[in-house]
Amino acid sequence: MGLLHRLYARAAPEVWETETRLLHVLRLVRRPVAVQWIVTAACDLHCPHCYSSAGKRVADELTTEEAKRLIVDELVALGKPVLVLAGGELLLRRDIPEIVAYAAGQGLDWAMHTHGGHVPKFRSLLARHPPALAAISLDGERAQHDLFRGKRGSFDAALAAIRVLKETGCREVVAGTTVTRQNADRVADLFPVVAASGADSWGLHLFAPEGRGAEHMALFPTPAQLRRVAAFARRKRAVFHVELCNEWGSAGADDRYYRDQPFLCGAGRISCVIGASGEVLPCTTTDLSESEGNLRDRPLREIWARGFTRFRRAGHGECSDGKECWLQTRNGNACREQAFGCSRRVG
Amino acid sequence: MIRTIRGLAVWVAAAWVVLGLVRRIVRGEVVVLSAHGAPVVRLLAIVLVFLASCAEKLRPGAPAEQTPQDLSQKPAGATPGPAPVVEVAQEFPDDLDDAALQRMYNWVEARTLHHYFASERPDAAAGDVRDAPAGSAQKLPFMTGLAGDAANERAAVFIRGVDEHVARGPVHAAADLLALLDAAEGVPLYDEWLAAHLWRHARTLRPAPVALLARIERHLRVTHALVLGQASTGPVEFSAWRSKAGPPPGWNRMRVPAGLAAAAREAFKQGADAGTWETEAALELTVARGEVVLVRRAVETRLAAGAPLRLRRLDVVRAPAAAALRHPLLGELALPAGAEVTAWTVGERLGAAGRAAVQARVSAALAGDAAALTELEGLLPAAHAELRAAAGSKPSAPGAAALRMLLVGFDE
Repeated sequence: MGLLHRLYARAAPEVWETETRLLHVLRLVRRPVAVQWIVTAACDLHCPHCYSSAGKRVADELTTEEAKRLIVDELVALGKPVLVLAGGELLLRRDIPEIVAYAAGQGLDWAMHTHGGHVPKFRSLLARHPPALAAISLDGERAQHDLFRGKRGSFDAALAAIRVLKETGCREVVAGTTVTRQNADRVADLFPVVAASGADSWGLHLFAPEGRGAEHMALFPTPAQLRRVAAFARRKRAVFHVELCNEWGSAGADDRYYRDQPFLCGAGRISCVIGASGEVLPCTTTDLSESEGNLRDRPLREIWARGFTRFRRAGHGECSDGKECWLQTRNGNACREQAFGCSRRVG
Repeated sequence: MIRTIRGLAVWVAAAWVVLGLVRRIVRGEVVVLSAHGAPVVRLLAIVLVFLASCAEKLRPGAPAEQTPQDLSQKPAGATPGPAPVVEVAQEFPDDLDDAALQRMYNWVEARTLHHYFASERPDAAAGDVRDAPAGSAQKLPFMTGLAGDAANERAAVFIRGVDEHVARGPVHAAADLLALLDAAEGVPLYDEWLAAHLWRHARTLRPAPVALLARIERHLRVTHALVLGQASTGPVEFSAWRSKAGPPPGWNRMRVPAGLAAAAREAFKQGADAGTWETEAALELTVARGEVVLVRRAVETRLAAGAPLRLRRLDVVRAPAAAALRHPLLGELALPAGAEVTAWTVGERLGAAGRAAVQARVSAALAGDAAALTELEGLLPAAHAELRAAAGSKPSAPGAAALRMLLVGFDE
């Protein structure tokens, strides 16, 4: 495995694309590594960058029994990828303890993306079945975070959630910041907050004009901001586990300065997203025209095996070329060029 | 006979696999890859990529492979000088093997060394760099499990060095800083933050501590080589996969992958530079008049009028006789005979017009002007003092946070 990794590391994006095409020719598909389920569209915050336009619960959300049967059981059959619970705010769903307990009983590892406000109420669940990973949103210092999230106290709640998760045995707590035009120039001020929060790492996401974000295109950072945040992240990796998330795209050979593993777009290849009402999507978009089918109509195994062909057959050009994030590509944002294209030498 | 049967069985099995595959392709069936099959397909992909790259290289008219940058190369217009000023080794450390690296990463956990120098504040234009008065070296993870063997003895020397360093306050002689670096490397401990910390403490030393700067550069080259090494061996620290997959139960956070020391040594040999200390926060100048001496890695290079000069944070420029440097935006910087310039002090050499240009941009950036902020990125050595003063005097101004972010680019 070590030798394979070293050979792979020399040209990871090329090998990844070749492997993807090879699998397609051989009529094989990879097993998913992670499947994200938008457990509910309900959320008690109203963030302008929300990719899922969360707010009110939608009428036809999957029921508890459907979640167990159509998601958990299917994931077991698919080789037990990580079940990532997201939202909306997942902890607003009352049956979450039951679903988590069922998934854990089936041997599934689970992860969660939350704003953190309700985490302390679930302390006993988290202690019984600690998630392998929990990502807590932290978009700025107190005033900025609360303003952005539209609720006073959400900053303190996020920090409290990080503490509870560490105390209850979560193996990896990630503080997640979505970089927008409003906070891009303030990440240096946020850094000490994150470093002192108890989080194991800091994931810098990039605003994507998806969901409600599409109504706030002006939140997309300027090219200069992208470059500065990328340079900042690179420097801070010397003192904290900072990682540029996938939306930034690939920095090519310089990826090693921004993340631990080279950028690879996993949409429809090793990961997918299940919407609140059972639609299976390549990534975190609410655009139902991207759906490969609904769990209520076809089992996840079948959708996974037969769907997402455009992600698997082409690679270059059609959906993601191994360099750009698919979400950003479909929105026409060449983030990679802007963030890394001219960051190597400033001065 | 047995060999024949075995050979036949292999052929039958292979034919069975091929037939099954053809049948699936014809029928359009898709199968989810098994855990055992995944490495085989990956190996096949690696071989295909390797063959494709070989074919590309053999193609007539294919561009020659780029060789790593030769960092010893002199700038255009340079003439050799009496080099080196002092002997400072620039080799990869002999004692840095995988076991030593594992010890190092276990001891300092993940990038936590800076916690023990807690409240360093390079905040004032006057340049006061302070550490926490209560040296917290007692809490260093190094302390746990010290058993008295040679490696731990060296760790204890470093801990004492940290205590003394913190107790000494903001003012340090070059020899003291060098001693702390020696103690760290003796452990062995290579840490980018520590190197930057020592560089910040060296800011007020006159003349500039050439040997210390060269040692810091070598230290940074080793840390950079370790980053490059991890790109080929895999990371030391667990990486949450795309914020989705967490570590398996019982995962040891710090796990040095086999061969990391060798990979880092190779990267160093191939010319690993000091990372952002090489590429960023430098000032692009030209020698306008006279001749200057650039001291880089403790090696002197004489630069005549007209020669480009890239002043990095680890460089020293000396003027044996009166000379001048020029910056396209900031104008001329006069250097009297015997003058010395570093990234910390180059701003002091600006003329009135240059000073005004910097101040105008700093004021505009403080007010939130994005264009001025971008321009300042290229002027950090000349503008850092004004940036500090502006961000310090109006910390809540619209652009103050962005100025603080730019300063990270200079200080770290």
